[in-house]
Amino acid sequence: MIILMGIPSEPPLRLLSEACAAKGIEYTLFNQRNQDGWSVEYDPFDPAASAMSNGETRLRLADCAGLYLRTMEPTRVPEWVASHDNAPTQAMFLQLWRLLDDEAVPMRILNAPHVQMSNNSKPYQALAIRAHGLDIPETCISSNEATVREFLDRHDAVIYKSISGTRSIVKRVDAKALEALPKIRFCPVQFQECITGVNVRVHVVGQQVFATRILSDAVDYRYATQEGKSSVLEPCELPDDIAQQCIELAHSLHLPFAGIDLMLADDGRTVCFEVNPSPGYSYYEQHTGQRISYALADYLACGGRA
Amino acid sequence: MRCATNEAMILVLAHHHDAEADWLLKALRRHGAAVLFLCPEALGVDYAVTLSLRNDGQHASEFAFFDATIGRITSDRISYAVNRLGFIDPLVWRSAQEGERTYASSEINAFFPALIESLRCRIDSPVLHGALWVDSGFALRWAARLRAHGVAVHRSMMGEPAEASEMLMASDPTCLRRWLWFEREVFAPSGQPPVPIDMARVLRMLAPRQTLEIVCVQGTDPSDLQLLHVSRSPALSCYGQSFVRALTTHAKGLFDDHPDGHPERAALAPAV
Repeated sequence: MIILMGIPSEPPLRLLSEACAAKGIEYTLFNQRNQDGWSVEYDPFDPAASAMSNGETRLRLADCAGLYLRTMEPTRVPEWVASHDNAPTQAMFLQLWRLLDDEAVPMRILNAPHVQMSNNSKPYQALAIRAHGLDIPETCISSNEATVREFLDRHDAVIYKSISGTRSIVKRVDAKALEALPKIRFCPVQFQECITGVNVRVHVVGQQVFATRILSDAVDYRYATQEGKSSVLEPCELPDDIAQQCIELAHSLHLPFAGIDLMLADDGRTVCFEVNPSPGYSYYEQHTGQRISYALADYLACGGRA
Repeated sequence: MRCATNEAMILVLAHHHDAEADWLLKALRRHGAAVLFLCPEALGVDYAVTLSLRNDGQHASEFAFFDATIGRITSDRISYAVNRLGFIDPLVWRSAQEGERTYASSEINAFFPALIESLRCRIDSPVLHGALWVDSGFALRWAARLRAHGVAVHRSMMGEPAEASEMLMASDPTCLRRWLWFEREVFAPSGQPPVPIDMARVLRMLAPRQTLEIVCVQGTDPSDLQLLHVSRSPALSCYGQSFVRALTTHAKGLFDDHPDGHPERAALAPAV
């Protein structure tokens, strides 16, 4: 038995449930639209005895092999907004996060809440990326206008983007951005050398690697259509050493499942931009036919804490 | 600030409202140590900061203070960092529109973990999983570990995190017993009465990798000792000069060995 948590219609969860069905892997859905119907029993002194129930089903976690966590912020679920009393649901989530973060709970969790926090600091991830041998862009994060101007002078082209996990569109520094530069005084901004090459999204699932090449003429391929540009996705093979570095990087961040953004740069470097702890893999699977959801189902069904 | 070029400098990262950090700064200065205090709430008011991430691994940071008597300080001057940061509420953004305030807060809270992680010196309380704060189960997991070593756990620790904090605040200070784990040593307040469990031995067995403070409440029965609080931001003033001496010793020892790498590095490991 594995547990799938989130909104059932959301593509990553939907593809995984379909993969489980195709493979004959038993699963239970924790439908977040019904989150107020669930309760969690968690004893930190006996985590193996923990259980979850929704009135109809009681799941002893000791009997479950794995859990896929794809929940959205509980307070943004429509039923939460419509409810007058969310205190019990809030208390349930507090217990749930504590339970899922307890390393003594004997099941595979993709990914535990606390290890996903690294997504909130891209430069923190960059330090881990470099430590594992992948290249990183030359980066200047600063609240000092003079220092940033020196950095801009050293590079032909520079982009800026958010430091945190807040999704932002990567933009090149242009005349308009330079006008706004004095505003960085109270909030550091991340500037990076602009690297050109081919984008590759790597999904790590346990010890497996799925690499997808993205051919696009947009600066940020995720927003290609908004820029009136296009993206083409296709499966590709990574050199063994790069694939191994991706696996090691993901596991060093305690992420057995991760979406790693690489660029095979024109200058020969393999540059890594970030590691997503809850990747929307369905976008890549649906465009390429790569069976990432099948790998996830197999991984979760194996059981035992990774 | 007193800081000769080759002097060991201790970096204290703390919030503006942190009275324990304030005590530490004063104690270190009285002790003659060179100290750099970095308060995230004062970013843009007192100083500008830069973190440079380089592909050759030579990451560096620089603090440019607007007070010319302090000037620019680079991270290679720092021999030891005390990290007391939790979630940063950037005061200067309070009057901004909500969207801008939220974005700035996220960015600043994302920046400081990287800044701390990039430091080459020893850090008493390293960043865990890229965040300045710990997850809601952090104290509970420590409670479970301590319980396995015979320490009873107060029921307030099982509820909302705020419940244990309120219990701590409401407790009679004379009934509290505390221990600080710092750099593989256990410290206790001077004159603390003995307790029915050898907490120093327990902590040495568990050997936390980060600075940790354990606080228990002592009941009227001598055998009634219950864990009340586990924290990464200790009440340092309780440990007095013995802690300050240990900190400065570590800072100086590590700084003196700097050219050959970290003194705790395995002797056969190559310096990088």
